[in-house]
This record gives sequence, structure tokens and C-alpha cells, in this order.
Amino acid sequence: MSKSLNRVARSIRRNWVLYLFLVPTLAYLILFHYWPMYGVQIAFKNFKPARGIEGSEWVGFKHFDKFFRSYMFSDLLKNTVILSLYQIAISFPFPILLALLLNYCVSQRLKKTTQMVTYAPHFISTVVLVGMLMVFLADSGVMNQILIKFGLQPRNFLSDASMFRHIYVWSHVWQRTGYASVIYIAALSGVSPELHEAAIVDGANKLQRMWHIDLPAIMPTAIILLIMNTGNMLSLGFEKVYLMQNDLNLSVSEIISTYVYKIGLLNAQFSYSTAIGLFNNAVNLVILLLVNKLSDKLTGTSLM
Amino acid sequence: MKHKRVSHFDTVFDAVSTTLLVLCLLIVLYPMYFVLIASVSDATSISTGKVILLPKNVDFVGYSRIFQDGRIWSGYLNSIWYTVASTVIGVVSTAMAGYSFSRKDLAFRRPLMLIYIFTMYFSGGLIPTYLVVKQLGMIGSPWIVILMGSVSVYNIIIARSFFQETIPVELYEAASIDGCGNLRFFLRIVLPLSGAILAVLALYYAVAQWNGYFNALIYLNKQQYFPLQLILREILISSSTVMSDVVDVDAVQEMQRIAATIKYGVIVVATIPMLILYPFIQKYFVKGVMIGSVKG
Amino acid sequence: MRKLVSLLLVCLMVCTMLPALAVEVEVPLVTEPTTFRIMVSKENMSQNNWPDKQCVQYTEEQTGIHIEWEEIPSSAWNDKVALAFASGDLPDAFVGTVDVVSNMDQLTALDPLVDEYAPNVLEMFETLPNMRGALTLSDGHFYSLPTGDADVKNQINTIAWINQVWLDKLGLAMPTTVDEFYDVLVAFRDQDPNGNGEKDEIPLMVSASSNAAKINNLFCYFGTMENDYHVRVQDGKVIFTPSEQQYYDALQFIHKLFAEGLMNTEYYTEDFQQYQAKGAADPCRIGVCLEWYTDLIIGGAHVPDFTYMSPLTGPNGDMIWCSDIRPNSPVGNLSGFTITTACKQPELLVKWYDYINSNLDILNMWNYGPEGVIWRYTDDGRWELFNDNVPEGSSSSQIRRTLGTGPAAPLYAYSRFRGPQAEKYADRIAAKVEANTAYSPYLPEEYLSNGFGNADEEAERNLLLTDIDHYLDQFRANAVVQGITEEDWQKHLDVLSTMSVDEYIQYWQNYYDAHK
Repeated sequence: MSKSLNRVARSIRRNWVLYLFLVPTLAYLILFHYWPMYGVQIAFKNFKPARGIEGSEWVGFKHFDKFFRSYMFSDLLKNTVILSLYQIAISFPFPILLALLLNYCVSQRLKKTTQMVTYAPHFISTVVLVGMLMVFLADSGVMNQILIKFGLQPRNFLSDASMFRHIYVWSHVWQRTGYASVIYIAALSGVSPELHEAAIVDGANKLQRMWHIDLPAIMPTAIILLIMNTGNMLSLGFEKVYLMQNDLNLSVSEIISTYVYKIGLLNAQFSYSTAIGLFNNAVNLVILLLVNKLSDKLTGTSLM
Repeated sequence: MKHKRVSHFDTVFDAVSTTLLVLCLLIVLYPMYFVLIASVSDATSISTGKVILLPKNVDFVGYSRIFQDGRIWSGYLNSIWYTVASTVIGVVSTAMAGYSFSRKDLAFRRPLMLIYIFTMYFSGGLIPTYLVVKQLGMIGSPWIVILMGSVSVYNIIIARSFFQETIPVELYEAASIDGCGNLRFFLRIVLPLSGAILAVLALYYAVAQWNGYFNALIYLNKQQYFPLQLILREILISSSTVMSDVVDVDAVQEMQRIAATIKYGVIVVATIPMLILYPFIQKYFVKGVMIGSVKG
Repeated sequence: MRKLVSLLLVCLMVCTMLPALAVEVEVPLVTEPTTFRIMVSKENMSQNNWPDKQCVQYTEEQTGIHIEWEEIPSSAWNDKVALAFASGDLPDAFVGTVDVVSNMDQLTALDPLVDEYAPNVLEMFETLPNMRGALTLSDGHFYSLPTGDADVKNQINTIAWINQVWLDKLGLAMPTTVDEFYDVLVAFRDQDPNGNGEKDEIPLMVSASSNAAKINNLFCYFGTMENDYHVRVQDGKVIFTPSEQQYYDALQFIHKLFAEGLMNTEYYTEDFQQYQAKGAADPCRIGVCLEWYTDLIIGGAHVPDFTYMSPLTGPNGDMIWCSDIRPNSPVGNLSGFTITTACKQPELLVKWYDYINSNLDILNMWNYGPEGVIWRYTDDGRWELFNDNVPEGSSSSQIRRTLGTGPAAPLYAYSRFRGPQAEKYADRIAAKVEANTAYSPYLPEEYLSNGFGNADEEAERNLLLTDIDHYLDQFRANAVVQGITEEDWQKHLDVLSTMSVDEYIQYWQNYYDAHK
């Protein structure tokens, strides 16, 4: 026991520089992440700014109770979960597909150009992206003009609540696929060429090689990314969803984070909104742990 | 014979994949192209759907208005300054932390990592964070915006994976036998081998800071410190929500009219720096994001 | 001695410039320079900063009070104010909307200070007898002073304007009932009143993208109302309008207009530019529009074609017009100027506010910039706005907010500084004032006046309202676009009964009873 303690102490002494390296980031996390977590207690209090966090009275689970029984609760939860799962399911395969296509692309110039262009939307901010969606999908917008040119029926993309999730998810695909493929391209470049040569000798065509050599090679990467995205999902979407909301799609577009914002800052219900936010965090963690566990079981790959 | 069939199949495959790629290229390209032509077309032609492939009634009123607008210029300068500062701090601290975590002989590696990762999924929320910043006396200081964007645990994980993959344990062992300490090893050997990941990290931090506005919205008080995206939001978003504050219908409509003329130009102006920057770093992407490596 | 004489001279000059009513304020207000920190909502048309404005510098010279301005863009205002209160990181005062009721713990009660130090504010209270009551909270104190333009032209926001040229061309009479109105709209749709051979007319132009052009205004043709709170008052009782039969009738009517192409079918989806593009078209495409004034939507050449259409008689015989601005209750921003508990010498800021509101010269210097640029005195002793000095590419709204501050400032321009006796209106404003005068008899007699309620009740009420809004927005949109059946209406009533509407209405009833 003391022997292993000794070993640890020696290792720390020897590697003190490494710990020093951690100081800036750790200090940052403690200051801006862990310290504020102390304030989460206002979810269990009746926070009155004039009295401060300590001075406000405890109310236990009152705010949670109120939320669980509120008219909004089931809608919010349903909308949040559906939107997240839909986005994960759809945005997951496309970067892999793009990376595979690029990997087998015969023309170097096409490959370069495609990479260059598909990465670009990643650099567009959300404010701008939503602005673009509004213009494109308006009733008289470009999208409908094009549909008409091809002899198709124009649609009311923005006023049709059933379109909201599709627009949200597919615009995400448009914006992020190129950039997300970078990781897979990197992984593919790590595949040993000998494997491919051997397969060619065996008479495997490109599709077979793709399926049997490349796909397995990028699977671990894909799984890890899937886990990470899943955990981030519920917190990331806020701004875009909020900007995309209108009266007609509220039934599907109101999610927990937008509701927290409306209730919290705009209605000054700090405790109530913190409680809902806390609940959101909990849902986040549960989803993350579930996916992590699942992937561990299925593929033996997990985050931690 | 068999070989021929395969190559025939591959020809078809190549044709299909090329078509798909070209299609993909067009789908991604067009919306951006549209914004560009819309920025030099007049607002009425755009909103009536007359601008599709080519600009209509070309004028540069929008751009000239943008260039006369002092707010946009000061926003531009602020954004550049925040982006550069935040990127430098971010890359340095992230590389350091990433390297430490890449070393398997780091005691308490797992619990420390957990402390980092936990913050990705759980946060104290806006008000408590604001209270902390206030206690630190940093409300209104541009530094808070710079700092807030300068540490990302996600990036630390990426950096860690990269170092694990590219810096073999043997290398350090050999060096330490030669009496090379951790610091010297990091500076002399690790960093020179890591140009690619540093470039990628720089890009990640730069993009996040350039496109972000929320921290600036919450923590800054003076317009002279506002970054470009906040000004952009002011122009693109606030003009479409009518202020209930004062019933001055004329003013509101006037604002919306101005927004209509400069909207697309502003989008172009705000996005261009990043679009110019990234092709230079692009060649590092693939090398840098060596994520065969996120497994770790 | 020489100094004193020149000071006296200056005083004399200032005094002769003052209108008769003014209550003189002795300046400077302080013996030593004193500094306050004020958070102000900055409109994004302002092209300079507050410290650079002449009115601000002049006021500082006169009063000796230096203000450190924290300028918040109006789009970030709500977030920043909420954060300031939540964190206790308070400025000395706010100029801009503040949630007075829920933050009264952190605000200074102004009534004792006003009574002692602010003669001009007291005079305003005398002129506007409703004001003091409207400002006062349930604890008997008031914590805010009003700001903004309280002008006749703003008493009613939305007016229905009808294309008189089209009426004449088709030989139609001005509609006076809902049925006639419907027939006129059909004629506008089918008989090509703009004569371009295309069926491009939009008989009724409404749009969710413009605050004034919402369909809410159509509900009153049926004897009910749709407003931000979904309530109206009848016989002393607050009524939740979305469960009224009239509300259902109104929805049926609006759906009919929508389904038959009689109203703008892009009502919910278009943005403001698209809305304006439709209005700007030549030849004119619009038959009837709902706006503050026609030139805000209709292209310049066709503005004279329109005239106001008096409120219609509904199927139930009602003839009311409900506006989002509450009739007869004080106009303007009641929470526009507040002093926080962080302020060490609140009486000085009250005096400072009183000084700015003490005479027309200083008030208009804030509101519109220095005299002679966009406003001037007229020969008959009144004042008017004029456009001669507005350069190409700018606008008088922009100049107003750059040279002056605009109405979102520590000033309240009520009838003493405005109105027919004080202000001479330009043509377009004169037309608006005329329409307002014609409309005002139709405003409901019973109403919820502007004001503040009990803090806890307001918080609960707002929470309930968020959910109610959330549901109603969808319901209304569906009813308009898809239409509703009796069955849907029953379902709607069932949903409402699960949403604590009774509780919600009870809060309003309490409020109404307290503010009668």
C-alpha cells in the first residue's frame, strides 16, 4: 500500500511539469464551470436577487414539481428528444459517406474542390445560417422557384410545422457534413495500402473494399463521435431553434432550452428556469451514459 | 476475365461517385453563391424571387452603407483582436493540457480527465456564472470574452489523442535517459512535431470566437467593445423584432428598411475572413485531426 | 462680480425663452460635480454615443451632474437588465423598460422624492390624472417615472385604411358592416380594380411581420378582442376572450378570408421585406390594409388613394375598435426611468429628470436634437417637425436619434409639449390624427388600464400566460389556415380548462379591481 503510494509520489515529483501544464485549463474549469455549479442550488430555492443566493429561502422540489405538472412538460420533453434523436440519426452517416466517396475519387481536382467547398459552410455563424434559411424557404423563395421550374408543387416550408424538424436537421447536414468528414478522411488515410492491394489481387471491387476494409477502419472513430455528439446535442441547438421558431411551428419547435430562456431571462423566473435547466442537464447525462454503455456493449468502444 | 468484370464495375462506381460528388458540390455551393449575388441585387427583386442565378438591378448601396457604418468597423476590429488573443491562449493551454493527458505515466490521469469531461455535460447555468464573473470583477472587460472562448475540453481530447498517436512513449523514455526534462522535451521535440494539430486547434478556437456572440452579449457593457457578430445580430435579428419600448412606428420601419438593404452584404462581410483563412490551414486538417486516435 | 452679472444675464436669457407654464428649475443642482452610472437602452439607429450628444453635454454643464452612460443595444436590453437585477450588479438608474413589479426590492420608491423635489413632474400628474395611479404599485408607492412620446397620433396604433380609388372605380360604397366588407373584398379580388389584367390584388393586407398589421384587430368586428393578454372587460368582469363564442365567429370569418384568398395568404410566413415589397408594388395591389399609417406599407404614389375605414358593425351589432394601446390610460413607457437602491443620492437624479422635463427647449433638445435641424418654432407660437435638412441616404428618424436621443430617454413628452396647442402636425401626421379622432368614440369604455400589479400575482400570471400563449399561437394559426369545426372548438375549450385559465383571469380581475 505504502509502496504504491510512494510510487505515485515519485511519479508526481518526476512529472511535476505535466501537472503545471494542467494548471491553466484546470483553473479555468474551476473558475468558470465548477464554481458556478454552486449556484445551481437556486433551483431548490425561491431566489430573490435582492437577498442573494444564500439569503433566499429553500423550497425543496417545488419548482421541479411545478414543471413536471405543467401543461408544457410532456411537449417539451417529446420535442427535445425527437429533435435530438432525429439529428443524430441523420447527421451521423453523411460525413462517413462523403469521406468514402472522396477517398475513392479519381480526379484529384474534384476531390480538392469538393473538400474546399463542403468545409466552407462550417464557418458560417448560426445567425447567418438561419437568415439564409428564411430567405431560401420563403413561399416565394428560391427553393420554391426551383421546385416550380422542375414542375413540382411549391410548399410552405416555414409555415408547415411538420417541416420544421426536417429543415432543422437537413440544414445541419448541409452545414456540417463537409467539416465532419475531415475526421473520417484522416482515419481513412491511416488504412494501410497493403490491405487494399491484397484485396485487389483477390478481385474485390471498390464497393467491396469500401465495405470490408474502410468501414471497419473508421468505425471506432465513428462510435466515439456519436457518443460525443449525443452528449452535446441537447445543449447545442438552442440558438438555432430559437431563431427558427414561429407561431406555426411552436408545437414542435419549443424545446427545453428555448423554454428555459424564455421563462428565465425574459420572465425573470430564475429559480424555475434553473430547475428546468437542471432537469435538462440530467436528461443530457442520462442519454450520454446510455449511448456510452450501448456502444461499449456493441463494439467495445467507449468514451471513458 | 474476372478482373475485367471488376474493373467494369469500378468504372460504373467511379461514374456514380463522381456524379454524387458534383451534386454534393453544387448543393453546398449554391446557397453561398446566392447570398453573394443577393448582396449586390436590390431588395425588391430578391423578396419577389427574381434573383436566382444572376444578380438583378446591381447596385452597391448595401455595401456603401456598411462601409459607412462605424459600428461595423469597430466590431470588425474587436472581433479580430478577440479572435487572435483567444486563439493564442487557447492553443497554448490546450496543447499543454492535451500533452499532459497523453502521458500514460501521469498519476490520477483518469480522475483528472473525468473532472474535465464532466464540465462538457453539466453546467451551473447562466445566472450563477454571471455572479462568479461579477465576483471576479470582470463584467464589462473584453478579457472575459477572450477567456471564455479559450478553453474547450473537446479540443483538449483531440489534442491528447493526437499526441498519443504521434509521440511514441519510447521517444520520451529515450530523451529522459539523455537527461531531457519534461519541459524541454515538450518544447524541443513535441511541439515541432505537432504543427498540424496546432493549426487545427487554432482554427477551432478562431472559428468559435469569430462566430460567437453570446458571451459578449452577456458580459460586455460598452458598444465600443462589441464584436462583429453582436452587431450583426443587432442588424439581422433585432430589426425583425419590434421593440415594445416606444411606440414609434416610423422608426421601427425605417430600421427594417435599412436592414433589408444591408442584410446580405453584412453576411458576406462577416463571413469572408473565415472563408479566406481556412484554405490556408486546410492542408493541416487531415494530418491534424488524426483521429484514428480519438480512441484513447 | 463680473461672473455674477454674466450668470444673471444668462439666467435672464434662459427665462425669457421658457414657455409660460414652465416651473423653473434652479441650476446647477449640485455644488460639486457628481457622477451617476445609468444603463440606457440604445436604439440601433443612433449613430453616435450618448456622451457625444449635445443635449447630454448641455444638461451636464447646466446641472453639474455627470452621467456615465452604459449603452445597451435595444436587442440585448431585456437580457442585460434581467442580469443586472439577478446579480445585484446595479447601475444608479435605468433609462428603458424595466420589470418594476418583480424588481421593486431593488428600486427606490420615488413618490416622496417627487413630491419634494420635482415640481414639473407634479404638474404632469395634475394634467394627467390617471398617471399617478397607473404608476403606483400595490404597496402604495411608485418606483418609476414615464418616458416617451405621449402624443395624440399614438393614442391608437392600428387604423384600417381602404383604397378609395378602387371603391370609386368599382362603384362601391364604403362598407359599414362585416357583410358589406366581405362583399367589397370579393369585388376587389375578382374585378381587377388595379386594371392590369392580372389577378394580383390582395384585398386585405395583413401580416404577422408588422406589429400593427396583425389579424388581432379583426376580432373586434365581432365584439371580442385579441390582444397580448387575451382579455377584455365587460360589466366590471374580466373575460378571457379566446373562450368566447364571438372569438369562434371571428376565427371562422378570418379563415373564410384566408381560404378564399381575400387576405394575404402569406400572413404567417413572410418577413417584413416581403410584406413591404407587396405594398410597394405599382400598380397598387392592396385593397385594405391595417397599419399605423398607409405610407408604412403602400408605395409613395398610391398613399393618397387610401382613406380610413371606420369600425364596422358586426353580426352582433357591436361597433368597437380595440387597440393594443389601452384607451385613455397613460401612453408611453411607464417604467422608462427607474432609480435603483444602489444610488446614493436618488433625489439628485429625480431633480435631474425634472430639469429635463421642465421646458420645451431642453426637452426637445433631447427628443429631437437642437432647434432648427429637424424641429423649429412656428409663427403661431407652436412648433413643428420638418424635413428640409435631412440629407440624402439618411432619415429624420436617424437624425433624431443621433443629434438627440429619441423618445427612449429620461423625458416624457405629454400634452404640455405636444398636441394641437403645442405642436403643428405635418400632412401625414395630420391624416393620422384625423383618423384617430374618428376612431376614438369606438374604443371600449371598460378597459384594463396601464399599470402595475401585485408582484407575486404578476409573476404567476406571466408564467401562466407563457403557456397560454404557446398554445393559443398554434391554435389560432391552425384555425386561420386550416379552419376549425364545432368539434375543434369544443376540444379547444377542453384544453383551455386544463390550463388554469380561471386562475389567470382571477389575477386580472384582482388587478382590474385595484386599478378601477
